[in-house]
Amino acid sequence: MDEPITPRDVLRQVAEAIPEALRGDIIIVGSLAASYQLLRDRTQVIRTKDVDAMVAPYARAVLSAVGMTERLQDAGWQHQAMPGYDLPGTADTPDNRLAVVRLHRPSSTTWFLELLGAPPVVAPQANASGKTMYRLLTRGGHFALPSFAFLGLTQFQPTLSEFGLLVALPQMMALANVLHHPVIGDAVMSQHFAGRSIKRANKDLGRVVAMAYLADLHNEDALEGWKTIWCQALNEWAPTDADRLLASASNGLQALLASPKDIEQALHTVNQGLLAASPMRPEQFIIALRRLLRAIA
Amino acid sequence: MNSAYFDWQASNVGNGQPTIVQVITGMRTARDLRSVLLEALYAMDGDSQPKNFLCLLLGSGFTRQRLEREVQDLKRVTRADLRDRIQVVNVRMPADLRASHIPGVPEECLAVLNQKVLHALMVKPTTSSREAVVGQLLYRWINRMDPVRTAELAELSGASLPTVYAALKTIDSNCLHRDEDRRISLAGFTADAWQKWLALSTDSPSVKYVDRSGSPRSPEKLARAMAKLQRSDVAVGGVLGAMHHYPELDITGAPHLDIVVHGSPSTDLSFVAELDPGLVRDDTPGAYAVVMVHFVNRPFSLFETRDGMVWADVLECMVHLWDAHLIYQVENLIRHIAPGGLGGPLGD
Repeated sequence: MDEPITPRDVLRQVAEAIPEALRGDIIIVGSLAASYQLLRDRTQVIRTKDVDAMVAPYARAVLSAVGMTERLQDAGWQHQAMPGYDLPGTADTPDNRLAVVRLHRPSSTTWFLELLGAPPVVAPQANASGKTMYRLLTRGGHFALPSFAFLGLTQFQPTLSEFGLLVALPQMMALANVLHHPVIGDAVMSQHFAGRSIKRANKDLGRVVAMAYLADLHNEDALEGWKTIWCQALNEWAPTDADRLLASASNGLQALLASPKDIEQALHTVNQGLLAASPMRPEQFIIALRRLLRAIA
Repeated sequence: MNSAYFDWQASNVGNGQPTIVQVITGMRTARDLRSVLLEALYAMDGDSQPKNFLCLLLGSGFTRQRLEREVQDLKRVTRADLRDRIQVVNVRMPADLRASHIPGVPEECLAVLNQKVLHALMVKPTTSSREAVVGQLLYRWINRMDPVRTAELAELSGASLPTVYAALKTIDSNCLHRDEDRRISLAGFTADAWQKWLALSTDSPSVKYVDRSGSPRSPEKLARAMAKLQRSDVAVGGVLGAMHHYPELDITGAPHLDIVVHGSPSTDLSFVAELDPGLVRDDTPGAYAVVMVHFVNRPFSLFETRDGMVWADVLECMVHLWDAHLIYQVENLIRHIAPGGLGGPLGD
């Protein structure tokens, strides 16, 4: 079981480690961002290992990522080895064996900072995930900077935290996830989640439901604004595909609603992660999912 | 069993007196028949103007012999001046009604009667109570409306004439005013009368919905969701409705959403689930309701539509406040709407 951590503590620690000039080039995404934005109790702990940081904008993502990696390497942060990847990579390492930048603090392995890159565009080709990779040439070796097209939507109106780091809006992370999973695909996560093999789509769509649930707990009218802000973001970041993408946004969630086995997996992931402190019952999960679907219909 | 009624004035029939026609579908038991006839007899006895009574049973479960025996048994113990004015006719459907069923009725009158029966069957089935009759008088009184005749009052409240007469008997004679045309209105309503009326009115059936999401919607949000359904037969009542009618009502918020359905408790309530996926019907006594559904089963809903919202009438809202033990707010409301205010405090 991962150690419980407090979102604000982690954000503060990340901010302290990143040079002030580069802080504005990071957008925190993923479970830490969701926890920071949505957990009402600031002392509430979450169970996560990965602190996902997207380096943006695309134009200087590689340069900024190199600068951050070297700064952290110099401060004694350690790279996390991954089976099947060369650490550190060299000029001879093929792209598919380059390890991503995954660093933990010198004194603790409680959490890892993982760097992602902003994509050039947020609407991928049809039937493509939109995943791309850039090679980072750092003083400590060669690394990969992966980039996911829809995750680029998190550049829309991120929140500036009190620590000087930008944090993605939950609505944008949700939009990225629902667009990434228009169906419940068979692909499973590379690592077990709380002891179980889990479909990637169930983890990502489950998080969407959990974020909607938490947003709704804060404000019962919150979900009514999701479709509007999704529309604004798509028009800004994918103007030629905005209507098509918006129209398909509910497909994966509808597929989830129709599959009790997938709901069970999705619920397992959120109750072991974002909602660890106050897990949902299956009935609550389905109601939250139905409420979201109504709001974005 | 459903019941509808109307006044039928056919001067060339029988003794030339007007006839109260009560049309009843689906009557199954002798007890129901005796109850209907007894109420009619009481009403006829108390009426200053003699009237006939025609009880028209459609699709009842009685055989001809059984019905004759029941009617004869009742007439045997009834005064002659009353029993001669009562008729009970049993047919499968209105089209089966023949002149032979009602002695002395010519064919042309029968056609009119047939039309009236069909009309009565098409309007919403009503089983309005005495409280509904008194409520109708209260509604007219607080809105400074003209007095009405008993037949009109029956039509407005959806009650039978016998029920109207019985209801009028429950009102303190000092509070009831009859003008020279025998039209009726309220002249006042005591605190005691308000209390009795409220207590009886809260006795009506209602349906509860609880929240299963863990984050219940506010009554205001549910009311907005209801407005989106654009239904004219369901209205917002309770605290929200009362606040609509009287914005200065001394209350900070609604404990739940009261919905008023224009219809009977057998009305399809599937629309409630459309308000929020977290709502589940639960009529158990301890259930904490997020939504309460009430029913008004009179011909006219008295609902008011404003800015897309449909509101129940203020008296219906008041009944819901009373049901929620918001006594102070009920007093508050009565003082605001009743001519002359409220005579004294109400007890719970």
